Amino acid sequence: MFMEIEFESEEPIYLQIYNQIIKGISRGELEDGEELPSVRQLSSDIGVDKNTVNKAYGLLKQMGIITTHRRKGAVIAGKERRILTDYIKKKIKNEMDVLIATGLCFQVSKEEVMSMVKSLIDKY
Amino acid sequence: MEDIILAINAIIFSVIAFTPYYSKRDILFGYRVGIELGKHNEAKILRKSYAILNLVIMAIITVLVWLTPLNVEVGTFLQILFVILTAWIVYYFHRQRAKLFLKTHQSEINYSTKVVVSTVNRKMKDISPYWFAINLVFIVASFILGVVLYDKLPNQLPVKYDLAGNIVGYQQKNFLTVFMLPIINTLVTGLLVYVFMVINRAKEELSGKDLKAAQIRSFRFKKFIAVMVIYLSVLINVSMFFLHIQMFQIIKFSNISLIMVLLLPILILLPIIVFMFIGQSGHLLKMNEEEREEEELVRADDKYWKIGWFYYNPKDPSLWIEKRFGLGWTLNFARSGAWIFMTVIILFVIITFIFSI
Repeated sequence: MFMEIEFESEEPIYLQIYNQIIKGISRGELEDGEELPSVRQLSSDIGVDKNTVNKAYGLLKQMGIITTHRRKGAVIAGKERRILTDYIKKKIKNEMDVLIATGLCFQVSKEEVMSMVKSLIDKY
Repeated sequence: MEDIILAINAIIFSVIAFTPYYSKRDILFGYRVGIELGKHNEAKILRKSYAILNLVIMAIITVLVWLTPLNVEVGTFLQILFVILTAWIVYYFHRQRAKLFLKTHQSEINYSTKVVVSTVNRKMKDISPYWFAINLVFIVASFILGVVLYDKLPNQLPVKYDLAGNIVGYQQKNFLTVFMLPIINTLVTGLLVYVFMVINRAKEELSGKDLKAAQIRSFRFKKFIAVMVIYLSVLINVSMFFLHIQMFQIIKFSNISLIMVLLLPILILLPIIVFMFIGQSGHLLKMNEEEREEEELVRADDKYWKIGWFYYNPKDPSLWIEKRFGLGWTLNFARSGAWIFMTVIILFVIITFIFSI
């Protein structure tokens, strides 16, 4: 998979990495058990501090999306390990809540929100 | 003898003169101009002019050196030195013209603040670093021979031969002279192991319209260099071992030694010819490329390249990065590791130089 990082974005780079890896898994471009680049490799290729990549990998690990091996480094966790826990369910709900509320703030109708969700989900 | 020196010069000179042709095409004399502008007629003329001007100067220098009554060694050294110096001047002159070209066409370049990287974990599984173990055989054998034969060796060791095979230089036998060759060999092999590691560790910059193709090309390029580094290490170790047993007078200086001494530089330089046809990052390799409509990402990173030659970017954690003008990799001089590496290399050259006197 290729990861596109925008340097001038208001979205911090560690979040861009985090988001793109999640999207990559959902699209099937990153497979279960696939080894991700080492922190050194990814920070060097992008041209950012190692801490930025560490932060992204740390978040992914916290979510149970990747596991870290001593020898292999960061690896995409297998499906059996990516189970929907109450914690994650709550997290997704909370984030969706904020996004929907943001939409409603800008007078987006409920139907429009639904069609937005549908068009986005159909991409996968 | 003269044929061989001519061949060596021809290789070195063509490596210098044709640099813009095997350097990446989206970069013009250190300026990133993008694939499209890189194909522009003016860009082509600049590349051609660099090559022709260099070749003409090389021819003049060669004739001048031939006309002077210098011996072959000094003459060849001066010739290569002058060629490198004038090539720098020619480069600088063309860089100025490339700058003007870039200025007039700047509006055509769509500079991007994005960077695209691959999520493939780069490991060179195909080429095992264990191949370097071959060298260990020669290094260990050299050391053992030194230890075993130490007492039997004459007090004066022959270290220099003329081309007819006569010994012209002796050195007092001591610990250093007996073990100098395997010690140097160990250091050189160690350095080549490091180079082998750098191939994989260096920053990967994918550019162009088809990034997948760029990635495959880059991988093939690295694989080839990795094989060549191993080839080089074995070549050096075998010939140094040969030299060592000759110093111990186990074998006599013969025609074979002569041929080896003369052929060695050519064997070392030979891979460079192949590299010239593969191109930097393998960009000259033919592939079935899909002409995608993807937009080419042209990074505005010229400011980090001093004279288009030295990379200095404190924000980039990479120590090694692809060269902009030439083959292979260069250092990020904003990293302390770059200065440590340079110091080690300079010390190494000085030490070998002192030993060889």
